[in-house]
Amino acid sequence: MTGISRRTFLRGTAATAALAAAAGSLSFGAWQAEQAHAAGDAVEEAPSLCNGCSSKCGLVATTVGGRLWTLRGSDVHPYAKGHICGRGHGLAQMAYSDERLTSPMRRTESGEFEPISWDDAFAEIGQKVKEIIAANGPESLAIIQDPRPSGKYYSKRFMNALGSPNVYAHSSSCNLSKESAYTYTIGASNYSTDFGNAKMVMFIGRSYGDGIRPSSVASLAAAAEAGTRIVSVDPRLNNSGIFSDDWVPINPGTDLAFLMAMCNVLIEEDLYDHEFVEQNTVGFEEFAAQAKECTPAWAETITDVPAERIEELARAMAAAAPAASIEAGWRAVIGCAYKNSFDTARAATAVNALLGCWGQKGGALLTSSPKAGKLDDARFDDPPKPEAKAIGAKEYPLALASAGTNVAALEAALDGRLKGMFFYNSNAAKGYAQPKAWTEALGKLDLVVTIDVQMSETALQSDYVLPECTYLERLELPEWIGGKKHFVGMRTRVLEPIHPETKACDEIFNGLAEACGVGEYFQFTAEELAAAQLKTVGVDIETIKKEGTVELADPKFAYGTPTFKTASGKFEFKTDAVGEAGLNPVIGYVERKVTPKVGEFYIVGGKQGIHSHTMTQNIAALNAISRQYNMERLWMSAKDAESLGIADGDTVELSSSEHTGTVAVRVTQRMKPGVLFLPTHYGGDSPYQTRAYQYGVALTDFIPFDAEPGVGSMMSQEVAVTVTKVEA
Amino acid sequence: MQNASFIVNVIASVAIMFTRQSEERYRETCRSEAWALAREAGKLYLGDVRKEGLRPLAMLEPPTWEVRRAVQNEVLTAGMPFSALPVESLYRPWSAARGSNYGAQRGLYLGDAAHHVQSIYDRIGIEVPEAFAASPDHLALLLELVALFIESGNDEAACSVATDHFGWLGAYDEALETRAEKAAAARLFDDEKKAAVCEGVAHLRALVALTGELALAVARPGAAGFEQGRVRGASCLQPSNQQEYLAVCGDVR
Repeated sequence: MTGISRRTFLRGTAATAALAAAAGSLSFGAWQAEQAHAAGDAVEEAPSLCNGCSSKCGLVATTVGGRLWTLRGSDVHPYAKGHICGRGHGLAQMAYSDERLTSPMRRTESGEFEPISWDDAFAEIGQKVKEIIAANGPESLAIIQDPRPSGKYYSKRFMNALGSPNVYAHSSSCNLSKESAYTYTIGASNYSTDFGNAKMVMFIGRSYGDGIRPSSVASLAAAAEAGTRIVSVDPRLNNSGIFSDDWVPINPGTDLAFLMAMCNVLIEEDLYDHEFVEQNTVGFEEFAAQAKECTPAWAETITDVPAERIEELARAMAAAAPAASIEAGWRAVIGCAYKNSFDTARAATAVNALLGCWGQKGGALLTSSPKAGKLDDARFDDPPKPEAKAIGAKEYPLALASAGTNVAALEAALDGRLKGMFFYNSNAAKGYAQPKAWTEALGKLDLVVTIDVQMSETALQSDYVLPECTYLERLELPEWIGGKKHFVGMRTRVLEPIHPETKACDEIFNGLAEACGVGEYFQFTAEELAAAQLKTVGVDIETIKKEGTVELADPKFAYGTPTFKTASGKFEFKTDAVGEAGLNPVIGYVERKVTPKVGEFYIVGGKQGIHSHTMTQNIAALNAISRQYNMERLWMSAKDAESLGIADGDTVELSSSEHTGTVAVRVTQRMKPGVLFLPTHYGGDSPYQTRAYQYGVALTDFIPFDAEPGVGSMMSQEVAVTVTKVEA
Repeated sequence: MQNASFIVNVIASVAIMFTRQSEERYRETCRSEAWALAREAGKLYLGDVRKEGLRPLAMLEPPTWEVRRAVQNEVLTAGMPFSALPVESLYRPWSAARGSNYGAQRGLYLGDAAHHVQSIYDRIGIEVPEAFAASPDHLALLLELVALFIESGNDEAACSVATDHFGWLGAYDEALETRAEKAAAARLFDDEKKAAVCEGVAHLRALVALTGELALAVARPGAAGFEQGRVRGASCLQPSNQQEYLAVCGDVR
């Protein structure tokens, strides 16, 4: 035989004798029996933090012979408390998925992708980065990342080392308005509800039963069981409804009017906490003057919530105070959905201020968070702070500085200020703002690099795609967890890397930095940095590798009026900086931008309990559940369906100014008439994700490209849509 | 009279076709004497085989490099829209062992099949190349393992591997068929690309059909006629009956 070896792949010491001796016991059946007998010997446990959403709940993975076998929630981790949710269980199988990226990819001139080596990928990206900096300066580069323990650290360090200040989180499509607003009113980006002692809690649009954090669901369930009155203000009876005493169906984006009317009742009926207001707030008089106009009767015309109901809820909250509060919310109405999301969030905190519940037992709590101390190893010193301000800082001055607004980055890519963009664990092109705008922007850039585990819509439009290993295959930096108690958690390497040509976050950024000429700032591994950080709080890295989550020194939380870290040091009903940004400095009413005309519908989006935005839609088991139960359907009220002659399961054409798509309808009594609900996981455009591709429709496709004034959130629900039945 | 060397050489030339190759390597493979043997094996095994719209023997001849390149990049590369990697674990339930959260799932690497063949490699001192770390049950490796045992005269082991690890070829053939249908309608591709992918997939399917016949020949009771490292050609090369075929290879035909 000539021209080709008999064995191209299998090499080794296989001796003829060994081959000849290997006999019947090689059979699959014999091996299975042997495995069943020996399985107990190879069982190991290792901790990690889930990557199914940004909660990063602690988990414990069991492996058998090195293979992932089961997951369970960490008993120690305060978000898990022994449980993880369905999306957490599902996401883990991504480690073995047939649709993972397994080697670096380069897009060719013809638009196809081809595998390339890491060396070539780093070298080519490094060369292009250097060319962009030489021609346009480092400020023409940006990175967008969906925060993960290592990713948020390395993204910022990489950009800053290059000399660019342009580092953005996903927040403008999530909770940017809320976190920015709270920073101005209470001096913190979030707060918690003291469910264990609460008499009444009101949710504004948020649903623990859909955007699941196990401990939150448990707290809510326990509170409901204990008799706490739970109120859900939402145009949809969401999946937390089983815990709710009251469902307040409201016109979408009018929650601000509802909250201002609550304030009106509390002030006009003299039900507010005078002592708290006088001693701990600024701007009350101006606020009260604005709230005076916001009567329940006025609010009824906007919200469609009866004035009597608003009055009853306000009086009940006052009666329960200080063990009553508005829950902090997260995304959507309070986070990024409307022109008034920033003020809606401010108004929610104003209600709590009037109730005097800040820091009180059963009220709204401001707790502290731990962090690593100063590191004495010069390798970890920060690179010089870039001189320029981040793009967007001027246009959207109210945006939380640590998050920025990626909408500004998109605008800069469109108008040519940006020339190169990196994306880490971020499917911006599908999830953040209008996808057509992203496509246009990415097409204009000289360099687009995406780091991900799968070929997302953003990766699909990139010049280079760098495959990260899945979270179970990598160690990451510590995650610091605040609250009444302090904890630190960490991802450890549960599984050996499955695909040899994938790398962990730190390896990828270290390689990029070296190729871009800034390797001097990346002379350490994530494990070395983690060990140094943990040492500052007295935790040995070997301990956390074993335990996953460790409780830190008791911060000695105590009830009582908290310190508000605002400019004034007090709760702010009025903030000058907000006025300087061109908005009303005083918390007051702002109308939503788009109001449906006759024949049009409001549309709202939201998570489902088994999915996390677009990230999990291609997971085989989770996608199968979606298809089994037709979870991609558009929710419509039974009243609307009847008037349009639409039956459950019918296909409709959904249209906005931006897009038209067809989708099946779920007819339900759980929607307020005039409002539609669309789960925000579907309508995938990446043919590389075969299970998710073209399954359902995506809300972002229907939304105009726009930004909330001052903050820069994407205004994810500022649109009106029409529905037409598609005749068979 | 055919002998074991014939089977081994055919396996060598077929196996490499299931992996990505450089242009130089591909042209070398197509020119080699081994491929001439594969052609001969095709005539012997696939002469009467028909599948809807596909006559494997007619498609067994290696396509041009341009077609091969298209099918390598679109079908034999992981993570692509039309990927269909010939890896056994992807077409079987992940694990039959009790207690696994993921046991019934398909489409996952490193299932029971992979761990079983890895145990065989370990036992006989074989190293799996790093590129195949996630797929020790890749069809190319499985074929070479069978060939190794045949060469060493261990008919029983060759029969065991052939019996245990080729039953997924029918599912793989279905996957390839589906990919070709989808590629033909893909918005991403121009007409030339569509035609190239479809032609390349047809060649892969012919290779799968031939692989199924080879596996069956090796897996036949009585070691399919292997004696002293030689194959009793005529008996082993008789077309198999449908029931026998399904038991070993699944519905490849």
